[in-house]
Amino acid sequence: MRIEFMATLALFFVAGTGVALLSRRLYRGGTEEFFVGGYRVGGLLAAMTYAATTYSAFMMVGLVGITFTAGVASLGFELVYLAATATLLSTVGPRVWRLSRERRWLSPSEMIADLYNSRFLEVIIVALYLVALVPYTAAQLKGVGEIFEALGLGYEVGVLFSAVAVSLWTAIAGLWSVATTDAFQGVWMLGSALILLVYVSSYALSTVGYEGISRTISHAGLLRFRWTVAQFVGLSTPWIFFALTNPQVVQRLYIPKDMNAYVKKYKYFSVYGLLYTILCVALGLLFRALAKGLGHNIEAMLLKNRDLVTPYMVTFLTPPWLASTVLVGIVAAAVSTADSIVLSVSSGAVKLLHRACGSSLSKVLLRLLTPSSMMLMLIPASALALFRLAYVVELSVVSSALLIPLAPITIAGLIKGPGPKGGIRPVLSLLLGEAPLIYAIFKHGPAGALSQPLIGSAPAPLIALILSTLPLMTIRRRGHET
Amino acid sequence: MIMALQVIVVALFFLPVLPSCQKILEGAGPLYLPLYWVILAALSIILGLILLKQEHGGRA
Repeated sequence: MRIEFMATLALFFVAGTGVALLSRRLYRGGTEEFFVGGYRVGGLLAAMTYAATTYSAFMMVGLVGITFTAGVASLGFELVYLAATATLLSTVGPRVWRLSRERRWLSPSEMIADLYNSRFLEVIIVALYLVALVPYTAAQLKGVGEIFEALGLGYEVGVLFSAVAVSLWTAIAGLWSVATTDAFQGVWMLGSALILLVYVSSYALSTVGYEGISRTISHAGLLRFRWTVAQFVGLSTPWIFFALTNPQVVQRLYIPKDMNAYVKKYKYFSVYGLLYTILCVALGLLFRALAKGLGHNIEAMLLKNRDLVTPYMVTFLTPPWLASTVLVGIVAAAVSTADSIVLSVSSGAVKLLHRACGSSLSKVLLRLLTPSSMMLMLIPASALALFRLAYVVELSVVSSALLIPLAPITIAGLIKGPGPKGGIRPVLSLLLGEAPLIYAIFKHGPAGALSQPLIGSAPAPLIALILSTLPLMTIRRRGHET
Repeated sequence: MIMALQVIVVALFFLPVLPSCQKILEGAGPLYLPLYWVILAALSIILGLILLKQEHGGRA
């Protein structure tokens, strides 16, 4: 198994690097090309990079595990994200796309700063991205490390491998190499999950049969809604606004070459998301039906450690070639998310530093700015991954939650339009939004910060959303500000 | 109009947190709860596509 995995991983890395090198033909040089592909990316490529960036290792590790332990409510939790994203992409998205090329935005921090005409806000948001997205990136690297560890290849080696792939595939041609490798990885992720589902389904049908599957799933109550209200609302809220709060996906709204490409991107991404979500949930349910038969109290152990569900499923049920393909698919999901985060956060940092230093920067220093800002993100993320904090799911969701206050700020700014100063209100909105989230993290810890009620039965993300909206209520369209 | 419908569809995802709604869906059959969410997701995607085509289809 170890040899098969290493061979598949080598194939993945060589093919991915080949794709990244080929993408240099599309790259014309310059900052706009490096960070947003010169605003001229086609619909299919834009859709695939959006899908691969959005859907991280969480899907095949976290979502399968949550379904295995807590049942089908995970489907609602994940699909509400997709529905909300479809809503945002079809309503607010086209305005972001149009303004991004008019105002030549490279990063979402620059976008918000431009909407409110406030450089101070830009500094705060770049800092917030770093604080919030370092754990999110760390969660991706941690996922890869755990796969390596399970195969006896060393946790640290896995973290290092993913960090190298992220930095290499980002550095080769910026957005072009990230988007093309994302497309390659997106196909691998979906393809491997589909093959796995076909294999596990046929295995389940031939061993326990349809009746056995439905009896076990029903007996365990997996098709019932078993989450608490605070758990469902608290875990779902950060994902509802994900398309507007997380810079790596906001930046992908800028890149389609025209409106046709934008609509194509929307269509292909939506279909991808729906399929991938259903596949992951079905895998979690099916494996639960089979887990009892595996003996050695494996089911009980997996119920206590849900991040091990997928690794156990592939190693116990599938031949080594398929297990390796699926595990490399998880590596692909982690790498494709992490490199997009690194690119988007570094674009914000580069713009900020470039503006701060102005023409005083020499050409050599200017060239060093991009790789060093990428390292600013990647080095602490790798270090954090090596510490192994909390579960993959909670780590990702907590970091997304810290970005929740950016949703009202972005929406209000887009309604208002760029130009007039926003004054103190967006900063106040950020502070009010972050306060309950930070308090919840200290009170309940990262694992319970979002799902535990904070006031009444309302979880922290909902309170953060309401509080951060309040200072922005008086903002009106351009020329009508009160 | 379509935008309002989309927001309503997203809000409907949260309906199963209500015990009365859970009873109705689970009483109808074991697959109704997941099916409910899948239909809502598909509906929201279709509504978004209609909105994009209506407002931006001719501008490409």
